[in-house]
This record gives sequence, structure tokens and C-alpha cells, in this order.
Amino acid sequence: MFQPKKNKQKINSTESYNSPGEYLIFIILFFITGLLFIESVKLPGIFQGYTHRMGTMPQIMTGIVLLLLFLILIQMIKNRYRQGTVKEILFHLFSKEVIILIFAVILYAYLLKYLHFRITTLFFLWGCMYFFDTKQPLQKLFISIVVLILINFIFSTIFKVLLP
Amino acid sequence: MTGIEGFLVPFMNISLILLIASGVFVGIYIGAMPGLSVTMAFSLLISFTYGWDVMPALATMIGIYTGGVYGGSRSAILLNIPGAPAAIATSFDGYPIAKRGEAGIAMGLSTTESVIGEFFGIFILAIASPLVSMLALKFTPQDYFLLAIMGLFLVGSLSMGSLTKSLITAFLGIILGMIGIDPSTAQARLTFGSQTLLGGIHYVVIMIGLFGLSESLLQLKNKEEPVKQKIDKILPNLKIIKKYLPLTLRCSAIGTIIGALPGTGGDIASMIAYDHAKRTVKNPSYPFGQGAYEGVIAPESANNAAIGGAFIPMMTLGIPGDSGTALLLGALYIHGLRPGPLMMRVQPEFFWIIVGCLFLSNIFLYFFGMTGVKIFSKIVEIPKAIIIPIIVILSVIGSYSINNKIGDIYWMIIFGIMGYFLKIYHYPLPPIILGVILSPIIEQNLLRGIQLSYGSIWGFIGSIFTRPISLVLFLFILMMVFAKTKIWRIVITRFRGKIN
Repeated sequence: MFQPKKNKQKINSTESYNSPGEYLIFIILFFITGLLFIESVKLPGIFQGYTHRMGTMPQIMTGIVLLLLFLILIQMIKNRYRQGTVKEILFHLFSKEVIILIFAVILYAYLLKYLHFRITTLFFLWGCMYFFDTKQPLQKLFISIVVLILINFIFSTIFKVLLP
Repeated sequence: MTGIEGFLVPFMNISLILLIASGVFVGIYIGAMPGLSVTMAFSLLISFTYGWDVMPALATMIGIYTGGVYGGSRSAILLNIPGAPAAIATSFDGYPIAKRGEAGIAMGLSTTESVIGEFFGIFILAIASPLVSMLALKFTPQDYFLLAIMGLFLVGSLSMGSLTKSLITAFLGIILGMIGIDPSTAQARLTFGSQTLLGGIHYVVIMIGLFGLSESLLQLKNKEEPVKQKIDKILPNLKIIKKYLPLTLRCSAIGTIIGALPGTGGDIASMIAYDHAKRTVKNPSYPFGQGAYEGVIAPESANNAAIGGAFIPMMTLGIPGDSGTALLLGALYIHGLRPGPLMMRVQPEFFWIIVGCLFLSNIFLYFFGMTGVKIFSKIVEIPKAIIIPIIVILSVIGSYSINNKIGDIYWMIIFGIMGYFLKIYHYPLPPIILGVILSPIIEQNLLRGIQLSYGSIWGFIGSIFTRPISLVLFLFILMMVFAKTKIWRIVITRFRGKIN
């Protein structure tokens, strides 16, 4: 499986553009901002000749973000951005635990609707604790039960917060 | 009863003392828990204390407010997950201090400085309320707009990486704050035709995702071993307090003034104070961002000083200073009180009772802030395999409790994953939250300013140069942007060379 990164990269403006896969986050941000820009243009604003309507700010802001992303693109090209292989990108982004937690939390949110809070939370807590560290599963089950009882008591009884 | 005698009322009433104490205690732990927020606690308390008398309800809420603003620093220092927006700046240096094994020092320092800062804010509240509120009254829409933009650029200057990336995340935050119903026309905006997005995305949900879930993912990836915490020094000694007193007082003044401006609170105050410390402290204990004590002192004294400042417009004008005082104002309305210039004249004793409650809550803050530090320090030594799933559960509960919608949990997950990727590629996250919070201030004041300039955007821009406050703010912004460029560094180096 994927190995965790042992050495932290130093943060400086040149080296940050050598992070493999940075073009992916650029594309995602460009895509999201582009969609928001298209949505904002449907509203009355600057592009329709209005200076103080509800579309003014969204159009200005999305336009600015697109310009800034364009600057990022220029800097990436200027600094001879290194794309990296798929394996490098995956090593850079993920570890086994990260993937497990992402899938587990999505599954947890989905199952909340059907199994409700107590059962889903117990499975989530114990499952994650066990996957992250397979030692002492019974101890982790005990901790999960105690945590669940405490959460129920603190939130339901004291704060009267409605649990999912 | 004359006004100032009201200050002694909380001190002579055992039930008020107990309510304030319990409010502070609960507020600290609410603020400290990632996934919970003071505003959430207030929302619950308003309904819970509906049948109470006004003073017990107010005393409890003031206690929770005081404790909650401080409490966010605990998780910021120990877990790098700010419990509240006001604690974001604290995490910049607080967490590195904890990683160095000095969590007890960091937390003792944050407690002491918070108390000093709040006393400063209360003093200003009591003495200078009329003067400060008059200054705030003079702010025009142009001034508020520039102040909000300045806040965003400040966050950009606080980040260690690229200014461009900071601005991208800041402006994305502003855009996120605009999703939903437009406040002036009540029409859907940036919702993509979705009914779910009509209510917008609550900033607490975004914050929990960005700072709760994404940090959990990052800590799992980096696999840093828990640092054994040195907790022998919980009380910072007088030498440290004396050494940093000038910085504390300056940042407390910043916090009070920022808090006094309607719409700005501890979150902006702490950021501005941190930036001030970064720019003015020549020889920090450690480099900023790597565990400088000054990096905890500045934001902590400012965000608690902002509490006193936030009460100034609330009490003297009836305008909330921040989200906490907005809810407090709602609670006062429910109990039949109308804060404002009339109340200050007709019922001044209420103003002084509130000042007394704040004073008492601050005393309790010191005692409770110094307790439980060992327990909280031990939290960091708990294996990540155990603590991370618990943090995720708290994040889920926190995001669900805002609107009781499962959809908010999904939004939290989306922002958590997005925040994780953004962090890996060195896009700073605090500007997003600041952008969301400032979004309504920026938009309303921009549109108001343009309307006052007869619909001309050039008229609005021109008016900035004709107003002294706007001009000063504009020059500050220019300076902040310019200070990040190579040209500035060359100019400064040559200037220093000429002096030497």
C-alpha cells in the first residue's frame, strides 16, 4: 500500500510548484470557479451594465479568482512545473489511513440516515480505531462504547443537542 | 440606584456568581471542543433560559462568551484545530509550541494574556464607551468595505506561502458567503437551481470541515508521533509577563478597537494583532510560525480584549459588535431590554451590571483556564488512532447541530477533503473562513457605497480618496500588498544599507 511521507517538504514559493499533481488542484479550482462565474453571469451585474445589483459582487469576485488562477498558471509554467507520474502523485497525496478515513466518513454519513446515530457511530469509531492500529481490538471496542456513552450524555442530556 | 453601583451587583449575588462561574467553565470546554461553537451554545441557551429572569440569563451567557472565546485556543494549541475563528491565529504558533513539548507554557500564556486582554477591554468599555462609539459612528460604507478588504489582505500577509494563493482562498471564501438568498432582493444566487443551496452554506460547517476533518486527514498522513508534553510550567512567571507586557497592551488596544467596530470581532482582531506582532517584534523568542511566544500573546490578548470592545456598540448604539453580541442582543430583546443610547441614559445600572459580570467572568477565566491544563495536555499524548475518529464524530455532531440537516454533514466532508488537498498544495485555509465571515460586510458596504455615489463605481473609488479614514485604510492595503513584492524587499535592503 502507500507509504507515508517521512520527510516534510520545506515551504517556499518556488518549491511549492514542484509538488507533483499541483495541476490537479489548479484544474479543480478553475473548474469550480468557472462554474460559479457562469452562474454569476446569469444575474444582473457588472456584465449587464449594473453596478449595484445582486450579481455585481459574484461577478467581480469570480472574475478576480479566475485572474489569480491565471497568474498561478503563469508561475507554474515559469517555474517549469514538474507534473510527476501517477504513482508519485498518489504517494504525495494519500496514505492507507487517509483513504480509509475518507471512505469511512462518507459511509458513516450515508448510514446515519438508516441506522441512526448510536449504531453507526459505534461501528465508525471501533472500525476506524481498529483499521488505524490493529493492536488491542477489545480495548478499542471498550473505548468506543465509553466515548459513545459520554457523547450521548454530554450532547443529548446536558446540551440538549439533537444528534443525527 | 445610580449607575456605577450596578457594577457591584454581580459580586453581591451568590446565584449570579455561580451562574457566571459555571458559564465560564462550560464556555471554555465548548470553545475547546472542535465541532462545537459559542454561537451554537448561545442559540441553545436562548431557548433554554427563556423562562429565566434577565440577569441570570445574561450572566450565564456572558460567562459562556468569555470562556468560549478563550477556549478555542486550547484545541488550537494542542491539536492545531481552532475551536473558534478567534483562535485561528493562535494555532500558527501555539501548535508549534506544543509540538516542542511546551504545551503547558503555551496554555498558561494564552490564559494569562486572555485575562489581561479582557481586563483591558473591560476598562476601555467602562471608561471610553461614549468616545469609542462616536468614532465607530463616523465610519462610512467605504471605510467598512476597506476595513474588510484589509482584513483579507492581512490574512494573506500572515501566510507563509504565496500571496496569490492566499488571495485565491480569501476570495473563494467571499464567494462561498454569497451562496444562497440575496439579502436585498430575496432571490436565489449561485445556487445552480438547487433547493438545498437556498439556505447557503453555514460558515461553521465550512470551518469544521476545513479545520476539523482536513486536519484529521493531514495528521493521519503525516503520522507525527504524539509529543510528550512538558507540563511542569503552567503558570508563566512574572518575568515573562513583564517582558511581553508592552506587546500585550498594544494588542489589547488593537483588539478593543476592532471589537468596537460593528461587525468585526475577535477573529479579525486576533489576525490583525498577530500581524502587528510579526511586523513589530524584532527578535522574537522563536521565528513566527515556528513557536514564537509572541505569536500566542498577540492574538490571545486581542481576541479577549475584543469582547469588551464588542459590548461598546451593543450597549451604546444597540448594534452588535460581533456574532456573540448579536445573539446576546437577541437575548436582551427577548427579556424586554432595549440596549442603546436611551438605556445608557435611563437605566445606566444595566450597563454597569454587565460590566460587573464581565469583570467577574474574567476572574473565573483565570482560575478555570489554569485548571484542566494537565488533562488537556494529555489529550495530545493519546494515540492518533483513537483521537482522530473522536474528532471526526464531534465534527459531524457540530455540523449537524447547526440546522439539523444531514446535508450539512456532507458539506463538512466536502470541505474537509477539499481543505486537505488545499493544505497539501500550500493554499492557506484561514483566508477562506475570513472571506466567508467578511462576505456580507464587503458586499453590503460596497453596494451601499456605490449607491451613495449615485450608482457610479468610479464615484465610489473617488470617494475613497476624499475621506481621511478611507484614504488611510487604502494606503495600508497598498502597503501590505507592496510589502510582499521583491521590489519592496530590494528597497528596504538598500535603505537599511544606507543607514548602516
